Amino acid sequence: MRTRATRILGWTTAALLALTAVLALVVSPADVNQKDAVRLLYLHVPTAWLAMYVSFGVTTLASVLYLWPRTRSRFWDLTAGASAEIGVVFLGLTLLIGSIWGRTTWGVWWTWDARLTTTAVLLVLYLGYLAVRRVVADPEVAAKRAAIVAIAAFLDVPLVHKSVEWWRTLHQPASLFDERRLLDPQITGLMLVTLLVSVLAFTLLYAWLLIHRFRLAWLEDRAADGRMALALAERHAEASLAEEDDDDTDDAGGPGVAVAVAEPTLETTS
Amino acid sequence: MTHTAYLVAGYGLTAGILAGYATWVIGRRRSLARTLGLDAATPPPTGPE
Amino acid sequence: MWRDAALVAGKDLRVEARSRVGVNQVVPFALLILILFAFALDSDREVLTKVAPGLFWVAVMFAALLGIQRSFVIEADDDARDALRLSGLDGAGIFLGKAGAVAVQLVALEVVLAVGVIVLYDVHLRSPVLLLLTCLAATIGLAAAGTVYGIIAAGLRVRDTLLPLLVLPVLAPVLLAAARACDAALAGTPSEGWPWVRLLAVFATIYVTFGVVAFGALLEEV
Repeated sequence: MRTRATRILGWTTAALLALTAVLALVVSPADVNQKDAVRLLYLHVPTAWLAMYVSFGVTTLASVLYLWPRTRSRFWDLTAGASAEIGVVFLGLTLLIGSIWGRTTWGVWWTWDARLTTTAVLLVLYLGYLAVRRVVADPEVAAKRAAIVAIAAFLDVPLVHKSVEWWRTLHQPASLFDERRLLDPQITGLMLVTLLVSVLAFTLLYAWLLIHRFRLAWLEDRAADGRMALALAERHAEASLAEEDDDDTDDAGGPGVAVAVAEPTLETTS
Repeated sequence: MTHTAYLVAGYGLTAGILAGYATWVIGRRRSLARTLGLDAATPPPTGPE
Repeated sequence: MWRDAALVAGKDLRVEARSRVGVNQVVPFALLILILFAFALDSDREVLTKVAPGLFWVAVMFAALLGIQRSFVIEADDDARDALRLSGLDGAGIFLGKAGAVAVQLVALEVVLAVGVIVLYDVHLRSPVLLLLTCLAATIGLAAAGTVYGIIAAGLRVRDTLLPLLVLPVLAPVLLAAARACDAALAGTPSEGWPWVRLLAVFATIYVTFGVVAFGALLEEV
């Protein structure tokens, strides 16, 4: 995407976010049941939707495309990583705002219902994905392993959700309020408009962040290649120096031999 | 904590975290581009090669 | 593929038989977890008996982590990994062999832990068929998923911290389902436990399939 288009996207996003804030905080009415707490949902719902379906969906899709030999390209690996990181940020926000909202309406910071529990597990799954990307040194190896982790995580989410759902419905606790009803309030009229604007604003925000994070990832990739090339060049230079020294002197030259001996050990500690 | 305080906390944290993240991404990109000696606006590939 | 699996499983089990790491270290470790839970939960007999299934499976999960790490550590020595790759053995077969060996060791551990739970937590066994099938399905799932992530984390210096982070969230449904199934069995209401066993079977199928398909590719990498 050309930089100018990105800038337009950025400003549009900012404008929509501002509009969202105004609508959410000032213009739209308070909910009958939740009062003002519903205003937090205008943040919570879009971040949840974007994190879980869009961000991680993109990561999974990009991972598949990377692994598929015909479409393999660094582009997909970088996209997967960028999208996952943004997804983790959004998901963290989702849980944070959700927790504050829960405190306001339910009086508790957390509850073990199916959706929340699955979301928490999802967050940890993708933190693991990001860890694999960072920890494995060779970019090609890291890309392949991370892609497989992404797909495995994607497969795991329905399993986690289903199992937790069963668990919680079998043990329906006596609750003063219907958690589910509060989670899906009847949203109509101006509230619906606000929600839609918010979803649109956050979607554009995701796109804008993805573009920038992708560019950063691409630069980091090139930097890593550069460092690799530099290190290789240095070793080659040392090796040829060592050869020259050996040619010049008859008995074992000090520094030259030391370098030539040091090289193999450096390589085997990988 | 009153409702207002929770709202402020929620919206404030959201704005702060998102703005912070965006700043970090763009800032790191600029400094990395400088280190690599590339123009920060050099477009990376827009699609898989 | 099955022949290769048997070969690899036999090798791994023979290594274990000779080194006895599982017997000497992992089993005591798991028993120790059971004992520590008694300290943590204030050995009030009633509480422990109630939560025994959950504690049992938590102990099994942590022991499984050790078993999986061990499964790949023995490959790291003497460049056994390269030998494995060059041996011409089918990737899927290697996966099934390694996962199979881990599963066998886990089953042995579960027998010991079951005795531990009966003795330490005053548990009375009921619905043995349900319990057995739960253990079988859960163990296969643990071993399969664990082996997949084990190869992903293998060879990395941070393997010991990365593997738990990767695999424990994935194993969460197994813990949940196995504990609930055992709850139902011990409470004398096995009909409530069978749906959980079905979930365990689904989980095991998915990860065995995933391992068979992906392991060859993963082994090639490093």
